[in-house]
Amino acid sequence: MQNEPKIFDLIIIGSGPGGYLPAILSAQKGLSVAVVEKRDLGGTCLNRGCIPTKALLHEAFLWDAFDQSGLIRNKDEVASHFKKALEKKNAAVQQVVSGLRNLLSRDRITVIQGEACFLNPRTIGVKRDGKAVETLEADRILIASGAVPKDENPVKRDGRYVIGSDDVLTMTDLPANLAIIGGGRRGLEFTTFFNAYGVPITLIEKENRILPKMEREISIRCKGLLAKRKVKVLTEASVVSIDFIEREMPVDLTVVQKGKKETSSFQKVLVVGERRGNIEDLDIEKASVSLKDGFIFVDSHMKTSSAGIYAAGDVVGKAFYAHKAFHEGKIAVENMLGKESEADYRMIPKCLYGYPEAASIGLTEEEATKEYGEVQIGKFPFMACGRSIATGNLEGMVKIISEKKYGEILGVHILGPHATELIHLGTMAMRHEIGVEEIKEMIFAHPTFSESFLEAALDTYGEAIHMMKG
Amino acid sequence: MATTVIMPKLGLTMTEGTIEKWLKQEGDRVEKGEPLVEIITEKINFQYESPASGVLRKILHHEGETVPVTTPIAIIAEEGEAVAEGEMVKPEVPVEVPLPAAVQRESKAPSKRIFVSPIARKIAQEKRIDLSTIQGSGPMGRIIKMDVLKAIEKGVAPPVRKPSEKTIPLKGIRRIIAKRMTESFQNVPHFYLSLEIDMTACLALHEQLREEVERRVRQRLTLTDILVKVIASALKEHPIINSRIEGDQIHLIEEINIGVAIALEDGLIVPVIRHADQKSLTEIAVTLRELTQKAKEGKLSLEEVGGGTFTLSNMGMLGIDKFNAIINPPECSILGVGRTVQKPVFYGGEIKVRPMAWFSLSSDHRIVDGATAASFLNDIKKLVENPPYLLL
Repeated sequence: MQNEPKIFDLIIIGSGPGGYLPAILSAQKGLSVAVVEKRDLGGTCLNRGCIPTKALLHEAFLWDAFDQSGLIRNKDEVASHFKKALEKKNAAVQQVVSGLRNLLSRDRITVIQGEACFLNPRTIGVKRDGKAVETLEADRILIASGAVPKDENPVKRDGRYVIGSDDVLTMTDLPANLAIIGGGRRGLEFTTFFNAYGVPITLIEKENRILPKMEREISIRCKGLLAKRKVKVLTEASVVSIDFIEREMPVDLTVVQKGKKETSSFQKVLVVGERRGNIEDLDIEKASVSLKDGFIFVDSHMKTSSAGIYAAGDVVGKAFYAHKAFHEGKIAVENMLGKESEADYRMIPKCLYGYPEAASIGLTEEEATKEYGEVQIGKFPFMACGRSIATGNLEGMVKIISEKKYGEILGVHILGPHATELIHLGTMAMRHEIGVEEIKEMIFAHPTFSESFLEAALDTYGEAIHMMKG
Repeated sequence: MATTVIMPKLGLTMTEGTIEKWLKQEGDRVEKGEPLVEIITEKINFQYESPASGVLRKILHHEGETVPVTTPIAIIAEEGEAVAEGEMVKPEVPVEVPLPAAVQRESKAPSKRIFVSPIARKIAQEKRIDLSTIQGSGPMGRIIKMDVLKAIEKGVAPPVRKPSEKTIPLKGIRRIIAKRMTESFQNVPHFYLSLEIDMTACLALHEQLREEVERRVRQRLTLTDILVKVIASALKEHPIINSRIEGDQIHLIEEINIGVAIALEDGLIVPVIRHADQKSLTEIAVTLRELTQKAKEGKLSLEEVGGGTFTLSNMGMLGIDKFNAIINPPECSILGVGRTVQKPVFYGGEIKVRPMAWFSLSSDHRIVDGATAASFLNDIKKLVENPPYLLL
C-alpha cells in the first residue's frame, strides 16, 4: 500500500539540464524541490550527450592530429586507442554525475529514482520496476523529461546493425564502415568522430544541404571540408529500403538522391535523425497538458496549457541544446516565482563540436536580409589569422552580419578553430547591444583566433588589416 | 591637513540642503573660493565655493541626496596626503556662512553618466531622445534599445499629427517652484476670499507722491509699493495672518517681511522686503527696485529671498482681473491683486464710473478661518480706499 503523499513546493521530472538547473535555482530561492529521474542522474547531457561525446571527440581529434603529423607508426593501435577513448569518456561522465549529485545534495534537493507519472495535475506517482512506490504532491510541476530518437520508415533501430547515438557510446569496436543518416550537427559530430579514426563514412541528409539550420555558407564550406576528408556526403537523399544479409557488410541501404537510386553495403547504420518528446510513460493526459508535434506545448514563459505545470528542455522541442534547456529552466523558475520573464530563442547559440567546429548566434544572412532589407557583412577567413597559421588551423571564417544604420549585430557565424568558444563574443555583443563599431574599438590579444572577430568587424567597413582586398 | 566640506547653513531657517550637482569630481584639483558644488535649499539653488584648496578626495554625498546642515559632504586634501578618518578636520561650523553666491539658474557642469547600450545611444541621438528621461530596463537599470524604442513610440506619436516635442529637464529654479508649489497645494488647505476695491484714492495718492519720490531718490514709485505699505500696515493689526505653522504650533512672527512675486524669463522669484512695516514708502520703493533689478540679473542672495511672512502677487500689469494664488510656504497667506478697471459702480447713491480692482486673499485654513481672513481683507480695503489711515 502506498504511503501518504509527500508534499513539495516543486516537483521536477527529469534531472538533465532542463531539470537540475531549475531544481538548484528554485532550491536556492527557498523552495522544497523533488527531482524524479528514471534513468541516469544528469539525463542525456551528462550521460549520453554533451559530455561523453565531447570526451570521445577530443580523443579522436588527438589520434587524428598525431596521425596527420606522422607520429603514429602502427595504425593497428587505433582499436586500442578507441577502447581507451571509451574509458576516458566513462571517467568524465562519472565525474560530472558525481559532481551533480553533490550540487543537488548541497541544496537539499530530494532526488527520487523511478518513473514519474501524473495521477492528476498536482500529483505524481513514482514507479520502480513497474510498482508504485511513492506519491508526490506539489503546486508546481516542471516537466523536463527530455527527448528520444524517433524511428522513421524504413530504417528502424535494432541496436545491432542499425544503431542510435546511445549505442555508439557502448560500442567496443570501430565499425569497418558506417552510414550515418542525418546531416545535422549531431550527425556531423559522429561523422567527425569516426572519420578521425579512419572509418569510411557515407553521410545521408534529406535536406539540400548538411547543417540545414545553420548559415548557408557554413554548410557549403563544411561539405567541402568533409569531402577533403573523404567523407561521402549525400544531400537531398533519402533511404527507400534497407535489407539485411548475413555477411561482413550486412546492411544494404538503397538511397534515392535526385531521382537516382543507389544501393550500398554497410557494416552499421547510425541514425541521428528526428526526435520526439519523452512523454510516453508520463500519463500526460492526466495532467491536461497540450502537445504539439510530439512535444509539450509551452508559451514563452515555459507554461504549459495546464496551470502550475511548466516544461523545459528537449521535451518542448524547438532545438536540442543543453544551454537551451538551462535557459528555459531558468525562465520557468522565474515565472514560478512571479517574475514574468520570457525565453529569448534568438540568443541561443547553435553549436557544432565536430571538425571543424561551427557556431552561430542570431540571424543567418538570409533571415537578416528578409527582416532588415539591406544588411552589411564583415568576414574574415582564419587562413589570414596569425594564430591559425602558426597552428595549422586554416579552415573556416568569422562572419558578422549587422544592420546598416546603427551597426547593430544581427548574427554571428563562425566556422573553424574554437568556434564554440569564440561565439560568445557575438553573444555578448548582441545580448548587450554592442555594435560593430564598438567591437572595432576593442583591443584583442595577438596572436589569437579571436582577432578574426575583430578583423570581421573591421571588414564590415572594408577596413580589415590582415587581408588582401578585393 | 585634510578639510571636511560640510553642508553649509545659509540662512537662519535652513535645516537641510540637497546636492544638485558636484561641479568637481573626485580627484579634481580645486582652489579655495572656486565653485565646488551646487546646492538647493527649499528656497533657492546656489553654487557653494570650496572652503580650501587641494584635491577633492572623496564625495560623501552624491547628487540628489538631501542632508542636514553641517553634515560632512566631501573631503579635500593635498595631493598625496594620507587621509585617515581621525585626521579629518572639520572647519569651524559657522552659524551662517557668508553669502557671496548668487542665485544660480543654469549650470554647465558635466552631466551625470548614463548607463546605456551603444546601440540605444545611437538611436536616441538620431531620434533626439534625451536619455536622462528614460528609465532603463536592462541589467542594473541600463538603458537598452527597447527602452529607447518604447520612449519614441510613447513620446512622438504619429509625427504628422503631433509636432515633435522638446523636453526641458526640471531643474534649478523650475524644480524649486515645482516642488514648493506642489507641497503647498497638496499639504496646505487653501481657501480664497475676494473683494472688489475702489482704487480712486490709492491712484490719487500714487499720483501725488510719484514726482516727489523720484526727485528724492531717483526711483519710480509704483502701485505695488503702496500695496506693500498697505499690507504691512494691515498685518500689524492682524498678527495671526503674519504667522506660520510648524509641527503642531502656530508661530506668530514679530517681523513683517513682505515678499513680492517677480516674474523671470524662466520662472518666478519672491524677494523679501524686510521690516516693511518700519519702512517709509520711499524706502520700500528703493528696496523693491533694487531687489527687482537683482532678480532680473540673477543676483539675489539667499537672505534676500528668505524669511518672508506674507506674499503679494500683483498681476495687474499682466492684464489679469482676478486670480487665486498658491500660498508660498511656510507663510499663512498670499494676496493676489488684479488690474484696475474703470467700471460703473453704485457710489454715493448713484451709478458712477470708478477704477476698481479685485483683491483675492488665499489663506491656510489650518491657521485662520473665514471670518479672520475676511476681517483682514476688509482692513486692506479700508486702507486702500482711505490711504490717510496709513499715517495713523
